[in-house]
Amino acid sequence: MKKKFYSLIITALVLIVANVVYAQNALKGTIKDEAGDPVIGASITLKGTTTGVLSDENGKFSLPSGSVKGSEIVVSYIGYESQTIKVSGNNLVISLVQDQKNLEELVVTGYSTTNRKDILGSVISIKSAAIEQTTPVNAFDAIQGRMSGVQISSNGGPGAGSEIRIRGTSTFSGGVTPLYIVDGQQLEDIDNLNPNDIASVEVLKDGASAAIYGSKSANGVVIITTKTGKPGALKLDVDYNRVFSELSSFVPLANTKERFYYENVRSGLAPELSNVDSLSYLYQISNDLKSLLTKTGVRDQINVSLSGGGKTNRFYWNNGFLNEDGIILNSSYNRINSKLKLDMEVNKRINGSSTINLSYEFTKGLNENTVFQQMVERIAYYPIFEPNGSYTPEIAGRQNPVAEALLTTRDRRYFRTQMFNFLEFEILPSLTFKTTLGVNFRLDKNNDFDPTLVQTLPRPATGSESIGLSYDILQENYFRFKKKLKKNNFGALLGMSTQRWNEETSDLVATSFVSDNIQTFNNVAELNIGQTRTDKFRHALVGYFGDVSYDFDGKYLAKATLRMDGSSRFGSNNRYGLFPSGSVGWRISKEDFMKNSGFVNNLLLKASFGSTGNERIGNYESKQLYRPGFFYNGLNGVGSFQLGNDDLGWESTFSTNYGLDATLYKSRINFAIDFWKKVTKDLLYNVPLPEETGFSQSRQNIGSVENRGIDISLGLDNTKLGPVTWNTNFNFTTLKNEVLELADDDGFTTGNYFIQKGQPIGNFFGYKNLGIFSYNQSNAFDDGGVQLTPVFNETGVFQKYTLNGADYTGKVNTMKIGSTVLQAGDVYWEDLDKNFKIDGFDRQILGNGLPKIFGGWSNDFIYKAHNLSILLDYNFGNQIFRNYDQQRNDLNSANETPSPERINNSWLKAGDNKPFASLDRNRTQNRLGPNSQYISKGDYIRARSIRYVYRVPNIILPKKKYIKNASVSASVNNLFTFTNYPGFNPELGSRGQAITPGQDNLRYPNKRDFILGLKLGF
Amino acid sequence: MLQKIKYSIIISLGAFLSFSCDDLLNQQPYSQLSEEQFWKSNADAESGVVAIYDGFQKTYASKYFTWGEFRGDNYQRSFQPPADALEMLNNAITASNGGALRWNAYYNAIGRANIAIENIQKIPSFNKQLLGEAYAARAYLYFHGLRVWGNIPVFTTPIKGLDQELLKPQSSAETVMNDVVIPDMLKAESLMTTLSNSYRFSLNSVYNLQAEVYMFKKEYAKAKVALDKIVATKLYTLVNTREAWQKQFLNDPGQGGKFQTSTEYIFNIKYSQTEDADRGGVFAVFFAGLPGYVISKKLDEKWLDKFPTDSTAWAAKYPTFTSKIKDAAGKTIYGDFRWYDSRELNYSTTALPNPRVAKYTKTNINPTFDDTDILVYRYSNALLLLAEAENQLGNTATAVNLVNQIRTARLLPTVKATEFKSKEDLEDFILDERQMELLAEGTRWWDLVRTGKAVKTMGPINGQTEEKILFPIFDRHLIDNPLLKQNPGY
Repeated sequence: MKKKFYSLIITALVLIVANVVYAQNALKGTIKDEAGDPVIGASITLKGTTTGVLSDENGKFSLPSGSVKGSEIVVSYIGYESQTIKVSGNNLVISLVQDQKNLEELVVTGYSTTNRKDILGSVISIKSAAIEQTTPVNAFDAIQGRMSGVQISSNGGPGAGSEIRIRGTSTFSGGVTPLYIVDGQQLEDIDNLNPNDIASVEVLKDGASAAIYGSKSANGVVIITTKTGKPGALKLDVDYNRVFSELSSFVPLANTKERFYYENVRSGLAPELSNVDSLSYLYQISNDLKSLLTKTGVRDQINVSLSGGGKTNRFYWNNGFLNEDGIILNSSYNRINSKLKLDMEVNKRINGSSTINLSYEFTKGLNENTVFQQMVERIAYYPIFEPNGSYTPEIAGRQNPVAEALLTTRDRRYFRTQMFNFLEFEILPSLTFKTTLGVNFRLDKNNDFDPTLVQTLPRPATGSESIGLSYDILQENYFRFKKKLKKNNFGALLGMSTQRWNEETSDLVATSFVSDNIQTFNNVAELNIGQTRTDKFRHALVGYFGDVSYDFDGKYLAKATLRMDGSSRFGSNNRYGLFPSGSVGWRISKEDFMKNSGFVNNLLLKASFGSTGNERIGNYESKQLYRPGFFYNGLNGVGSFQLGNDDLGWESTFSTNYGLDATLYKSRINFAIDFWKKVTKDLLYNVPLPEETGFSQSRQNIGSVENRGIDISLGLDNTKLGPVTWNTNFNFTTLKNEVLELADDDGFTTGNYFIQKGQPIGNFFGYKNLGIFSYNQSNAFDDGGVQLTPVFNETGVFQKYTLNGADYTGKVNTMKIGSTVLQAGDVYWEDLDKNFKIDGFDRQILGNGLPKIFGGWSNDFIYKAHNLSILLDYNFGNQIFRNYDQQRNDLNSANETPSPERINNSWLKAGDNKPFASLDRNRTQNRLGPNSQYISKGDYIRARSIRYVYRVPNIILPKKKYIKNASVSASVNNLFTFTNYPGFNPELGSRGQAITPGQDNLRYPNKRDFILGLKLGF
Repeated sequence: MLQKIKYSIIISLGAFLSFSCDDLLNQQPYSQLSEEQFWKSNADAESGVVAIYDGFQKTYASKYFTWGEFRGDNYQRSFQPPADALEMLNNAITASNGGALRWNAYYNAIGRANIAIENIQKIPSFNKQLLGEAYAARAYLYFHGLRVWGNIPVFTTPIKGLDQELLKPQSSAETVMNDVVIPDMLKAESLMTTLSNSYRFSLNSVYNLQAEVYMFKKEYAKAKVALDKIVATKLYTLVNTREAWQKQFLNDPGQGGKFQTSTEYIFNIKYSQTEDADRGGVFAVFFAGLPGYVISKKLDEKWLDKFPTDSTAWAAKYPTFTSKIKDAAGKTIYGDFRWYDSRELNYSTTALPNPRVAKYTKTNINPTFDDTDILVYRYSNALLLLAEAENQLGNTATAVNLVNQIRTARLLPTVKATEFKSKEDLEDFILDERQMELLAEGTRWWDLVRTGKAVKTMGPINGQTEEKILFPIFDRHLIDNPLLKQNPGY
């Protein structure tokens, strides 16, 4: 132990003096690249020793001369081939050659791998080096901001995860998540995946690439390849990160003084400020809920991986441990992963692989509705603690948010096992057969408990426990053919796939518990019979697929795929769906006229189309069904709850993609642009029915929606900024969404949204707030609906109206809501139909929750062993509806407190010109919603991550070489966000709701992370 | 040879690929039933009928009172009423008031009744009582619908699939009454075998429903026939102590829990905390927090004028009748015990202008645990209705006798037929008796509407007009079905 400590200190000391010591007597040399530019930070080691140095800003290095004679040196640098050189004199000039294997990068794209540069669809790929940067908790954190066309937004809170949208929203409710394929296994979600296991992430954005996955690929496909062991010595990698998190933004809350002011005026009385100076205890308390509810969050992430293998067997074993304590009291996330991957070669013709991934996740959540809603609405003088130190119970229907956060239980535990095996036979050199078996098992356990203190007295404690058991089995068999005849390359694929899901749930719900002391159901006083139940579901999918591809000398490329899928979820008339695709490419750079251009390395023009499907609805939604559970008077009633629809079928997306890939200037510039369009037809949507039928909605294939946009990605590699190497990648996506067709052309409302033909999804639909009437007489309009200007004399007596400066003598119309004439201090709502009656017909589109432009910009600066990376991302063109603000400001309940902004800037007396309506709660006419006043811009630019890494040079690592490499890092995630959004966080995941993006009901607030990391390789 | 083996491997694997999977795609539900699997036995019929009552729980939780109680003169606004309450009190209901007007649960219950009526009859030797209950439930629901909205769309056959006619225009209130409500309630009577059941439709509750319908149609003789049948069963007696009267209503953990027992119950809609998520709305509408509605000064004055609570006024009014009620300390107090027990006794005049209704709960409870039953038909209600019918039929003495039965049971002085100058006079008197006995039981507004007194009574209070007696149709329903027409007053 002591020894270790010693070596650490020595390491630090050596770090400081290293350059000085070794620069004295030396074998000197310079390292250059193919262009003759100096290579900075290349490692030069004496073969067979631990002596080594890095090249400096001029590409120069020097090794101690004593040890040089007759020996060899090894020169290596990332992206270049390693060279071993026999020392033959001083002042060596060593030219490095780019590693061609890196250029011939293989990418997994659907049952086979393709050379990166031969991809005809639109596929983006991110490797593990980039994934590490943000110290991600899950796979989405890792790729956020790095991929054009891919939008990732966080859902807030430890363990709440993120959501991904690939090229827009192309469904109404048929599920918005893409298909995940981890090492060949199809999965519904990858929340439990340890980002440390990921070797690469590929996103298939276009229809032609995704079509081979048919049925579930309409939202795109995310392919994840995990790390594999490499032949050679065993490798042990240890990785530790500690993260401190702090609250990064909050919403203003009214204090006691503001509350009293509000209480005085809310009944329509004049503000009476005299009592605000009271010494009464009541007037002295003003609880600061922000500091009471938040704390510094701490997160620890540890990974230990062991890998290696020989010629015929390789293994990779990784263990991850993550413990995150949230920034809100009593919220946390825990994850333990263990993954073992074995690759085996039985003989030259047969190989196989087996992967097992175990994970345990534990989220301690909050009752978000009560904690955050009660927090913003709470009366500041309501106590949090009683004089004896205990928590104050509920007062007048208002829960104590601190007690809610601390005492209620919302435990979610997920136990998951994923297994995937395959065997591959080489029947002929050109033909292989592969058979796979994947099992995905999951046990979810949720425990909720609400103790007496958070109940309305004299209610006892209540709680529930639910267990979900699900597993799915995927079996696939396919042939792959690949043949090269001179310059002609042929490829083909033929296969089938079956997948079956089983799900069982059981719920225990208590009406009351005997006491708070025991939260398990041996302590139950009374069970809720109606909600204590078990359920069971099944679902199956069968698919047949194939493809053919051809290319001539890599110059002219073409590919076609076809998949047919059947799903048990659809009606008997429409069970099968057919998903074709086709793509062509022309590599211009291979044409004779371009061949001699030294500037262009690769130029590929490509076009594709593809059809993909979506079947993400409930399991039996096409059937007319009855279910029990309608209890009355001790009996379990059975009722019809769903209409039958034998025609219910696939939601299908037809997409086209036109793209250009260019690699220029010694492969230093990478440019890709794609123009794409996706048209989704037969949307699966719960269509509202006229309720007199006895049903509120039914699942139908209805309507069509289009998404189109441009994805651009531009990368510059190896740019020299003096001694610093700069790598950068900028990506940019535009997105336009339009509903093309609906069953009812007039559209329909859903919550605060209106879906309408010719308009995008996500339109907020409500009343436009044009300001506040200053005087009673301000509510005056001519017959055309133009507002008249009231004129008053010096004593404030109304004289006359003017219109455009001239006296107005015509008819004066006044605006009404119901039978109430709007008066001074009321909202001037826009009267669309000019009938001077504000009603449902005066609602209009107030904004849209979908962003129009988004993307990111990553930068890597490398200087010797120092690496600084900066990742920014941005999002423009969407609005957010602050529903939480509208709710607390509606004056509907005496015990909710409006925002300080609302209290301090409200109309009070005739003549006031204020942004908010009177605080008189009886004026229900001001309560219409959505109110355009609560719609804000959701634009932001965020410093997602700034990270500094120092790779400890070999020469200062311990002599005995038991540490092969080491690096330390420090980073900040979310250092700053440029936004005008006044809520917690403009990055607002919609939690799987396709058509209601951008409604902020207040959820877990955003945080800023400070991260320290250490990485050791043994 | 090797080549042959290779190809046979390919062919056999190819065959493996092409096996059919249609069976795999025929997944049947485990936890739900198809229509073909259901409606096979009388046990199924029972489950199907229970689901209709479940629909009653959902439909009436708060709407029972929104529709029948709050538009009458029992209430005035509290200092800080919610918008929905103001709409009721000010006679300014807007078509966007989904809380009062949305008919999702209502038509869902009707749909369940339609399914039951169609399918029970197909069961061999089906249980007639159950079919009768389904008819009674449908009659009851449509009777509410025609009183609330007037003209409404009528569905009497079940909707099973999207291929059916889903958009229907409204039928006139008269058609609904004559083609659905009356035939259904008569059919129910002819099928039923159960005489009484406090929580489900039985012959007695069907008689009570018939009486309400006939009173609404001013067919007093028919109403009398129906009500006489209830009395003749001799199954019900009026409770005759203060404690027993109070326990008919009380459901308050602070007062000892849920009592709600009585010998007067003819039909209640039952709620239970331990069954499903359906909760009552009684606490939420009458008592929770600062509710929108408090007992009106007008009712308070009328009540105290009839039954003064100070001994002097009492003695002056009833010199020969000694008060039989006592306070907790055993001291004789004066007045109507129902006045004491229906209202909140200690209320803050700064928070509330008048007391809240405290007939069901007297302390705060959590509304998500409210399982207070809705008392639909109570014997005292039936007797007072019969008194009205008798009065209309000219049987003044019988009518007064019926009122006196209630008065005696409530420990109050009786009245004499000679005190009433006219039929109208006695009708008003009976309506007052109903108002005091049935406060917060969802009857007052319907009493006013039925007797044509809604405009006369409410006009001076909130400007009630004939055309606003009906409620508006929820605006969303008008959008979803363009064949529907809004009521003229809105």
